[in-house]
Amino acid sequence: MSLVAQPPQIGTALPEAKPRTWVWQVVLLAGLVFYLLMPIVGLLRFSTRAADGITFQYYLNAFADPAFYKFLGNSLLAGFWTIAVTLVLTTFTLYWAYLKARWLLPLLEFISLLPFVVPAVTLGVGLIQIFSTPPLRLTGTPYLLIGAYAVVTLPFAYRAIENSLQGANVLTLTEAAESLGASWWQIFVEIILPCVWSGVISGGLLVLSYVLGEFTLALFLVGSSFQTFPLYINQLYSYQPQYSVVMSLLSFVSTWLVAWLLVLFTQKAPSQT
Amino acid sequence: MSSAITTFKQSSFWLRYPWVSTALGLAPMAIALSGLLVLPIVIMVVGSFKADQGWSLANYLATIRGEYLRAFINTLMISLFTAVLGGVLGTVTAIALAWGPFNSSPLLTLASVAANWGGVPLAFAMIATIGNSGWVTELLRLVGWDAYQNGFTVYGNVGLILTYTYFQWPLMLLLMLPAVQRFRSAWREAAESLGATRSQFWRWVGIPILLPSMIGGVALLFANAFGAQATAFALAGGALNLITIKITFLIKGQTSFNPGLANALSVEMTVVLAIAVTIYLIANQRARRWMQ
Repeated sequence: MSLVAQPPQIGTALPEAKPRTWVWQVVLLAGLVFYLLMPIVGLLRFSTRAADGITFQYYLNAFADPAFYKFLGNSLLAGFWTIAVTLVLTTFTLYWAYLKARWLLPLLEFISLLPFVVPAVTLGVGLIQIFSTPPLRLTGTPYLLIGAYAVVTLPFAYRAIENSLQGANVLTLTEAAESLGASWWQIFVEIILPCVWSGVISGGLLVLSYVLGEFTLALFLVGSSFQTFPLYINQLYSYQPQYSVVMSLLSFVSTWLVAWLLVLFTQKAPSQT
Repeated sequence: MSSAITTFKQSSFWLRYPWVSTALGLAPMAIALSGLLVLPIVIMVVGSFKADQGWSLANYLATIRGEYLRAFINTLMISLFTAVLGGVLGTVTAIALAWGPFNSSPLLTLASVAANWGGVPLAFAMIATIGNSGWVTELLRLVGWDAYQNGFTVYGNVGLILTYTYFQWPLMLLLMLPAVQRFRSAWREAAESLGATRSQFWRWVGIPILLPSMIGGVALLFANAFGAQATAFALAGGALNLITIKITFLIKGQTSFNPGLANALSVEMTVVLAIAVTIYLIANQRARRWMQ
């Protein structure tokens, strides 16, 4: 789904129209805001509850625990590598398709719908059967997880890069550069990459946000051998629910940060001539 | 270039067989998709037809009985309910936002965060809100209504529906917003100038135009809820009677390990989801008619 905000169209009123009141609209929108914020209030309350008032002890303890940094680090590592693999793969393949196989582009559109037709559960079932027996015994390793994440986040990367490539007139740029004698490596690095840079960044942010919150594939494919942040939050709830709630709040804040950065980056998307 | 003079045989390999470079360039993605997407699906389908004695339909027969049939129906009902609930709420909120004088930017950021933030943290957030000692529950107790005395629990179907609505509602809002924004005010004005009342406008103009987008959105929301696992798992583990939970325990459970059955359930899931996504695609095509 697009994280780009669009300004609303304001309808024009006819001269004879009654003055409009926006009562039900305000009620609805306020209702939505309340519904979306009430669980966050719940997290805040639960994580600061003490016998006689508010305490921030749980926050201090949660962030002092080395396990937190280890498992968050695992997720960040997985996120970084997934971004690298997915973005390089998608950018290169899309660029190639634009140049040499335009008929492929509508087919690639279907990739956007994959997460709905083949959700994490289904993919996990198949992957665990292929990769849990030798010679492909990759379950429990981060490599399989990163590979699975790379495939699952393809839609995010695809849409982000596609948006940038569409507006960039890649074919003309490539031909112009070629006629000026540039090698294809030069073309790719010095001309195409700057065009898709905003797509790369927004795609990267979306992938990172996804990986930091992904639970199902991590549960199926790696379990406790490479425990990721969401697995940690879940496990923590059984014996230290307050810490788990602190982590949940952190996850919300980080998702918000990513969304905010995305709006920032997509708004200042440069126009190339 | 002396290309006019060189013969076919003397020209570069890449010029003679351009498809080779195309194929080579597309190979990495093709390999990744084959090994990590196509192959698992194939294994899943093939594996669903294998039971102890070789090829059989035993797995599928097991899925239409007892607990698995109940899980299937339960998942279907919950997914449909949250899809329609989220669909209605999302559509009217989109209309309220787009046709009103509101600045949408901060609300849209909140909506996109909520639509993307689910799974484990959301489950715990809902427990902290409508759980037995959640703040909304306690607030309601203060005004006299004890939900838990009346049979409500966050770990049940209703609790799950309330939890799923957290991301279904904003997701529908985000899906409907483009359609509602493209709804030209000229159409509303034309209806008004012809003397149509509010309800007549909606009945003959508004709803028919928005209906394809709404159906597409509901279909996508259905697929979203049907395939969801993390939220339900973190919320109540095995206590929730959902297909995705059943599959989780068939794969990760110590005593209930049965990959053949998991495969069959997954294949059935995929069929349902493919139908939902197809409905979404068709509805989108119809909706595009109004975008000319």
